[in-house]
Amino acid sequence: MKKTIYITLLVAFLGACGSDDTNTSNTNNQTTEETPESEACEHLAEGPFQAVTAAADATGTLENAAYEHTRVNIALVDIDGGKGGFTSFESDGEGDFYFFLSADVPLKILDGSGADVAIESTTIGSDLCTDIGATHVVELAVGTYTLEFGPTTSTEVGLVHELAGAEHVH
Amino acid sequence: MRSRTRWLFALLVMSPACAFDDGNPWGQVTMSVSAGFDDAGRQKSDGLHTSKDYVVVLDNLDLGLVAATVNTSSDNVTLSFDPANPPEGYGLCHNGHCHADDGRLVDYADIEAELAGGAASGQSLVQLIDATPNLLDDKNVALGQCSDGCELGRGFLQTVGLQVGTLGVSGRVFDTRTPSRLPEAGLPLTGEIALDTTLSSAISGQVGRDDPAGIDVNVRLMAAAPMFDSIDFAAVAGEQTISLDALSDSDRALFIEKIRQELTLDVALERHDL
Repeated sequence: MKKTIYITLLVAFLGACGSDDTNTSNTNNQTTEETPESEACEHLAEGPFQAVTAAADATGTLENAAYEHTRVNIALVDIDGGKGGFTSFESDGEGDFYFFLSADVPLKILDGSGADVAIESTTIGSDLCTDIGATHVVELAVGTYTLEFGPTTSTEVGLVHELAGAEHVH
Repeated sequence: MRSRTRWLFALLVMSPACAFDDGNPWGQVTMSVSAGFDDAGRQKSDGLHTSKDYVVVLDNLDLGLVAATVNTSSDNVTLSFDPANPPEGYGLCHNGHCHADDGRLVDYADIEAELAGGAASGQSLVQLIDATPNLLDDKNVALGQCSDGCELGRGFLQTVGLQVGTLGVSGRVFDTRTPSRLPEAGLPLTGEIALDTTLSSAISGQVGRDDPAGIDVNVRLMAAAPMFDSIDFAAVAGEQTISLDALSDSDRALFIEKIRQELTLDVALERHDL
């Protein structure tokens, strides 16, 4: 009888410990689910916001569209075939950059010598939120690039960028 | 009567056991401060690359350190805030950090410490430094006098602050673009910028009867290479040199803001008996 009571107490005690571990694990899971895509959803919806105006040609001084953890609203201007334009993008890191656009606006990325930088992948839409219209992944080094938008019928496009693997090195 | 005397004697012996222990304080702080430079992956064979396509070769990066402080509060203040309603000076709060109006990303714990520090009375222990280490050397910094003999009264540890004065730079800047915006041989970079800022880091723990009195506070300051990203060196260059002293007010303000973003403070506490 005594033995049964001890075993019951032991099982109850171990059960309590186990339940605590599960909670901790759940909590940890919640804090490790952040991804570039989830960050982009938040910033596209909630900001902070920064306004940038694209230039009609790439030869002059271009506004920098690289603002970390920010939705950059890029005002597009008249170009051949509709709306579009150029901004600069000062990359402060090295690796795969995610460019999240609020709409599926055509995007080209040019390096310092004006050559096209290959876009590694493009995804239209997002399963996570409706704020992402298109996602482009491209490998960049530290330095200044040119972003070419359009042609499109949109007068503005929102941009959030994230550097893979660095999204939480704040 | 004899019984009351015995109780009184026992009380006298037992109650002040901690306070009268060889005259030790509730807390005895020993500080160490080190400062270094993080190239943040920017260092290539030709120097540090910036986001504006310049290359900076540094000879010296001298940071004037003024003092370190250890701040306690008399009450265990754990002021919290609602991320949906950020405190003054902050915008969006999410994922454990808030966006400060000056562009910094600040952890919730540091904001809570900041709020607590402003709300509670306590002690501020000041460790003078008065040194200007070259961050490229990455060494421990010589310390000066410490207020109150570095002794803390009872209370709750809240923050460690590090007061920074000036940043002096010497080196050379080159351009990677074609055509080059600078002479092919580059230009010397010199000058000093007044930062006059205090970095802060949250700490926790209690100073009191039940806690080890020895408190080693190890402060580590790192400055990161992206601090030079804000400067368009060709636009501010003179004929023979690029001087930080010649920056316009707006360029200086941008540079100072960027430097502040790229300075990080790590604090490690070790507790031990004296």
